Amino acid sequence: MEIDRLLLGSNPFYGTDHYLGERARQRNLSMNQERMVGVIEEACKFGATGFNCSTDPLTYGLLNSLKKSGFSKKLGLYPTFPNPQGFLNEQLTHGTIGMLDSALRDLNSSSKVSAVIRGGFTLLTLDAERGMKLYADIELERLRSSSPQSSQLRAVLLHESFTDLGMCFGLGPLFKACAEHVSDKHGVIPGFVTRNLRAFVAFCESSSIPINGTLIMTPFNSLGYQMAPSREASERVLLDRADVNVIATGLLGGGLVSIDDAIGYLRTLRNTSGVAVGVSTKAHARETFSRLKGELSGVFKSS
Amino acid sequence: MGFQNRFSGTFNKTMDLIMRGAIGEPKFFWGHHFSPLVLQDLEHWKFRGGSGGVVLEFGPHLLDLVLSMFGEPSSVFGRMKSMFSAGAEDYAHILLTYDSGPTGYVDLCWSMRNYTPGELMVEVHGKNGTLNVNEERIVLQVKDAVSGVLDAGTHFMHWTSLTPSVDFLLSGVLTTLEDDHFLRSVASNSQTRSDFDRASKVNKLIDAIKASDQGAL
Repeated sequence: MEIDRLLLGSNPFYGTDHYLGERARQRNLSMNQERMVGVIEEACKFGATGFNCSTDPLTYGLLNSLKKSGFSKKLGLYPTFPNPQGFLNEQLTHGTIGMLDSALRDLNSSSKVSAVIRGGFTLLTLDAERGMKLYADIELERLRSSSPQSSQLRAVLLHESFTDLGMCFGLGPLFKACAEHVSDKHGVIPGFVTRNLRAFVAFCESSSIPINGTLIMTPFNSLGYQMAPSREASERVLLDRADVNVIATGLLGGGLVSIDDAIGYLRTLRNTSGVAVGVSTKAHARETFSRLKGELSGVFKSS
Repeated sequence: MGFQNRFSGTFNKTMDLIMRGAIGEPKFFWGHHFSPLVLQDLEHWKFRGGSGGVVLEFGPHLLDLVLSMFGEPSSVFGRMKSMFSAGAEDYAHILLTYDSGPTGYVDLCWSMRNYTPGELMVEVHGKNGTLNVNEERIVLQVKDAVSGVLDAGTHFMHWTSLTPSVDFLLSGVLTTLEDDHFLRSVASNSQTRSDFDRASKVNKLIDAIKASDQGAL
């Protein structure tokens, strides 16, 4: 499984900050597409080879801008879908039918016909599996058409809101079917974002979702933040399971953990496959990724 | 109505600090709950007159916190204003006075264009200091040390050190803690932290706000 070791996260681009909202508000006042493109270019210049993004109009616009800027570095794309906030806003603004119309609007004709036909079945049968596969197809086409030619779709990850809720509702068969769809039809790694690593690994086993063929993106930081039930429980999974493919997120604790401490902590973990870090300025990108690239060799497990 | 902020480490610590006299007797407070949620007329019952509006849909979280901190006010003055929603208010300014307590105001608005992410914040000024709290942190300035509570000076407390971990994290920490508490209360047949009496006080305050605004017409 080919996984990029250093991924640029995109939370700062969306105004998301899990630790200090007022910092995000300040940052958002000056965050624009030009700045985001600059951050991506700088992060790639200093070691990032992957980009974890959402699937929404902001991302497509950003990737388009990156393409137009002549970006030519290899960039692995790791989109997370769906975008819960986007769903909510569309549904509130235009209602359910309007939301579907919005999703279909940007597709080319043949895809649209195919999507409408399949979508019709979904609406008629309320078939969640068809619905999720259809949604994945729509968003991945949008993503591919927006992206620079040097980028490559590597994995598609289910957002933690859906992963963790799906576990509660026992949606193993649905997740398995969608993971197979992503892998078979799109040729990319299926993945899941979760804040409950131990529970998720157990869920995969009970649902016959192959752990060694799945990418898991989950928080790992010295604070134990968003690591349920505990930091120790998540670390135990890494110790016990050489077959997991984990991309660690939340490493810097939104700035509460220094880069020195974050690197020190990551070096104590076994069996991680990579790390995703969000930054909001070129200077921060330069400092963070040059340190990560320079000081984490030998830390990640081989593919 | 889910009052998940009742499980917030920062707001619970704030109430403890105020109760223990960290800032002395509270004299004045102000607060807001802001969000960029409504920037156009949305076709949803939450944004329609009679069923929605910012005071009813958004306001209970902050109003409940104010009631928890200072109790029921002796008088309420409210002004509501629509900005985008047809027939419902998107902004409210509420002045609260207490016969033997502080005076303060809160603003509710879900049409704050550049306020991403949103924020729920309260600032309390007392005879011995000032406390500013939101969902993520407390900033506390104490003039004179309060024995057994805090030293003089500025203190910063982050929610990660004030909020317990959960067995399974589903969506936000606060909603998970709230759901967990509810399930445990049902299992043990014990009283929940959120009960009808407390919720009814919030509703009573909302009614007073709306009556005040109506009285101005």
